[in-house]
Amino acid sequence: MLRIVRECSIKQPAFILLNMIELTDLTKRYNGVPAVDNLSLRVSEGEIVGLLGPNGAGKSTTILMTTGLIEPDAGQIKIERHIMQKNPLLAKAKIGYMPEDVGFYPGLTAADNLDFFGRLYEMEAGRRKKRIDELLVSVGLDGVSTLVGGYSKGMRQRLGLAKALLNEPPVIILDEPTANLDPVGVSDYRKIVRQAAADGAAILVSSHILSEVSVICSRIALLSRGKLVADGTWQEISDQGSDLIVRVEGRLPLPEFSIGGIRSVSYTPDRTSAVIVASQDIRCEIADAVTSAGVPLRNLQIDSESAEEALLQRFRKEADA
Amino acid sequence: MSNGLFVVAGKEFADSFRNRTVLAIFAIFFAITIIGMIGGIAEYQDTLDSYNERLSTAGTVERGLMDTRPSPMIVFESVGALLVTMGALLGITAGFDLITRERETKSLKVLLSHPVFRDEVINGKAIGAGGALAFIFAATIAVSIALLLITGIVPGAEEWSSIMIFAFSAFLMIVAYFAIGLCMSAISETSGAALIYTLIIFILLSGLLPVLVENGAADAIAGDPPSMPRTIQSTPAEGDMGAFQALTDTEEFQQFRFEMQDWWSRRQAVIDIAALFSPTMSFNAISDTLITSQTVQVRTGPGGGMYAQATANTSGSILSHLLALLVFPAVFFGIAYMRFMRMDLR
Repeated sequence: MLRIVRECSIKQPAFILLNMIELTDLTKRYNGVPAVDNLSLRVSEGEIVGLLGPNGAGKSTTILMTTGLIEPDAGQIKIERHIMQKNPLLAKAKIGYMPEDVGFYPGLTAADNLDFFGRLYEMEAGRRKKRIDELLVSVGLDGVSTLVGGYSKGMRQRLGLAKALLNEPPVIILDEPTANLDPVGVSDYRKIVRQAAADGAAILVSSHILSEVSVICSRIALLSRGKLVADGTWQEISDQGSDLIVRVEGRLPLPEFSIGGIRSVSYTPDRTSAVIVASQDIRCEIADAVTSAGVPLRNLQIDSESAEEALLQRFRKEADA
Repeated sequence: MSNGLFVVAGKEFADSFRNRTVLAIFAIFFAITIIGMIGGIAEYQDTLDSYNERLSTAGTVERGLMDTRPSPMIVFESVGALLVTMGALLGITAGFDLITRERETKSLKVLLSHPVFRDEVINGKAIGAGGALAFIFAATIAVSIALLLITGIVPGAEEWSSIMIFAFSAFLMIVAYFAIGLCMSAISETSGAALIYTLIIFILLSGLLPVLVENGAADAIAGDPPSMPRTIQSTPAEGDMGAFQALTDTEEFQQFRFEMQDWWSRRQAVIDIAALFSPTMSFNAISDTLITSQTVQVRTGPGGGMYAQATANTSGSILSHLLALLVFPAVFFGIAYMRFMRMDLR
């Protein structure tokens, strides 16, 4: 939600930040069809960048190439200072990755799973044990002794986040990280990710949920048909985009809105909810108008899917042109 | 190289002992082997008693024609037949879901995102699960040999080497089916499909191919066996060694003997070549050679000599069958390796 974005946007420091992820002219084709087309993207330390786009935009392919799981047809991937194609082990050692629908070994406990992955990172036994204990506490899985096979999707997602942070990586890549989390899990996830960014990690979050990306990310890279069609803060991108659709619900009939930027308002028959098309984010003004009229506010949000689609349509047209 | 190979191998080794199916098959394999050993030991004791009894009553001429002292390899005769099925199933169980399980639990993508090369993952899996098989097999063989010694059967030097070759070839056969399972696991999308494909190959190689070759293809290629000349078809009276000697010394019998050997060799060559394509047949060929060469030195009657001769020829092919048992897993592992290295992780 836009207001929250304003609140949680990370201010860019004055000093120069190192690029921890550098994707240069990345291209990948499947059966001759480009899934990712000449994509260049940089993520600096302490930055949380959201990779946004609809299904088939090339997000997953970009993530898989960045993590070294598939080879690009062209272009270069640099993690910290290591080129993935030349030094995959050094590059991968700097990455903490959580795939969408993350999988673990069902016959092992959470701690045993993390211990196995910690060994692959060549973490020393004492440090490994300490780190695993810390992470299980932070993701709320401490004291859970059941095997991972008995975990819910949400618990696996939490464990996935712990695994991504296991080696205290300077680069964290998260693919649809909140897909199976409950509200408490989402809140914990945001805290953990923000803390990791504050500690200097460069974080790339892939999602098709605009609201999620806009809440957590300091920058957004918008993909469409394998191409980067927009790259900037949410404000910068939405300013370039088209109208926003805001849904508002009250506990009593809503008042008439006379706020600048409103293009149209559609009320439900009982007037307790309305859909407002606006040229900019006017949620604060709407909230003021509703509460001033003595109507308790039940819900106020941007229709993110419509907004995202509107943005994409505009950028697609520009890209095609 | 990273330490990934050892980490993956170590996990796979431990996983094999956590896998209930592998443990169940191992328990059956172990129990059946021990039961087979006990039965074999009893059979050996009976054969030995019978031999000693005949030895005590035989005259000088009969002693010369008697079989040599029974070999402890008799004990392994029944074990070999059991090993063919249970050993193969043990190998299949250990291998058929090594890759598909990773895909089904979606852990493969997670694993390969770590600082580990792809080949270290497939090699580590093969080494770990193969190591577990080796451990299980070594334990079974150790207990079997202990049982042999406890019952007072002490093999001689030549018999020890036969037992070692027998055990080694049995292990290679198990590894061959393990490699087939691993290969199908790398090719298939699900563990269920991998198991079905592996079992189909197992049935083809262990059941269908031997039957087709021994009952059809070998005879078709070798042709009809030579018929015995009429003049020597009458069997001399039992114990009439002079008449028997006169019969086998005739030029006609020698010609028949030569043709029979030639026919048998051609037929055996077809079976031997086919055996190179079946771990079961290769193991059986080695096992038969080892057991018969130790237990059957001389056979009496027309055809018995040919059988002994053919067996002697087969003993020369142990090496080729051992090589086949080495090549078999190498080929299937090679296919699994290539498939895994090119696996699409989307």
